[in-house]
Amino acid sequence: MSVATADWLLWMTVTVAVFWAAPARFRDLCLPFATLVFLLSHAPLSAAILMTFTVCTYVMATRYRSNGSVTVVVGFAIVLVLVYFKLEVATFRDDPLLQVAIPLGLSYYAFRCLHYLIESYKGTLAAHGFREFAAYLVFLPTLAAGPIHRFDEFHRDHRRHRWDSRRFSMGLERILFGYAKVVVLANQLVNVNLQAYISSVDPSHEWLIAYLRMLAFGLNGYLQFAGYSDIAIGFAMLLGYRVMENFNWPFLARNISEFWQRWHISLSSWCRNYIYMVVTSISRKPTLAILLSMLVLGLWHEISLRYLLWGAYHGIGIAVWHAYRRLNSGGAAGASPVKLALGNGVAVFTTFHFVMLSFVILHQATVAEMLDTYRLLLTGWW
Amino acid sequence: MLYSLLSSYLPRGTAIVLAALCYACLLLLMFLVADSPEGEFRYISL
Repeated sequence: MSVATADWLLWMTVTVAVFWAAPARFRDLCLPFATLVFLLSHAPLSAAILMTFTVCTYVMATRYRSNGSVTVVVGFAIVLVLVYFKLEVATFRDDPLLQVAIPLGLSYYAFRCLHYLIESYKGTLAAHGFREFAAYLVFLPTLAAGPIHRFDEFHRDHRRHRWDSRRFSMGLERILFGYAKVVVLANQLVNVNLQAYISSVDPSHEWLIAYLRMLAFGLNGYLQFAGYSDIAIGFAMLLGYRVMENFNWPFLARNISEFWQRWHISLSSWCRNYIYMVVTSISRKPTLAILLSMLVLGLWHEISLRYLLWGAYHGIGIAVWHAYRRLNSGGAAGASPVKLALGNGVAVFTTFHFVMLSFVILHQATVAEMLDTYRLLLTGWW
Repeated sequence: MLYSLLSSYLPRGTAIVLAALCYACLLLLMFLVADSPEGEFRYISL
């Protein structure tokens, strides 16, 4: 389900009211209970998988804390379940029955489980019990659309949990900003007004139409997802928790590497910690690690050729940027402020368009259409 | 922000209730004004 619905607003309101009305000692039970009721009414299969993941991950992580083989086997099993459902979705995309069988939020809680398993194996987690772990993994605000928040931050807030009017107000404000992004900016300005303008453009201006469509797709994706993240972060604040930020003005990034430190931060940092670092330490080949990280990041969204290409596009982009930076280290030293500002402007413009061009891969249904759009966008403007 | 402003003039309980009501009204207004408030966007399938 989408979070931009009255249904989700109602769920948030009821959960927050019940949570704060409950006696303090039962509050950590309230959250898993609210999630369970929500999942049973919207995606029963997801409820079953989530409960299995919760129990299995906790038992394995606590009983075999320092056993690397068990961590690998459990982690592999979680990845297998995720890949199975991703393939199912990719194969039967248009099957209406699948809507019932899709485990809502699986991609997010599977990665949270893997994070917990790995950190538990490394011994970096503070002492905690099953109730705290269950409250973390089945945290309703981040269930359907992330962010993939980390156990330590959650646990810290959980331990110091108390009513804070200021945080509650900030949460309400954040939810309002989130809905403004989704409802006003994305659904109204981009999907209604901008699309109406694109339809009114003279069909002979093919390049302009393709360019505006590319912008509309990219901006819609950003605004919707950033809005969902704001709503999730605000919802968590209403319950007294801080959740990591997911976006930090990504279109102001000056290079593609910086872009990925500002876009879907919870996923990109997950990939950096658990794929990039691991592959680099084993292979001593950072370029290979970048490519693998970005391929996994792409396939996390969907197991399909277009997301594989999208991941490769960004992986190659980051690798090329790092190679360029190595060759030109200290290139801007001693430049005048005007030159620096101009350089930054050009860098932001270039990065923005590099990212927007990557959305063409996701937007077009076939490889042939994708190549046609690229040909039009890159050669049709002069 | 709104809560900070209100709580400097009103008791904290009243301030938070008023702030919540204001945010709820703004949200309602947003849903009423927009042509298609409930988008069909899904970032990922599952």
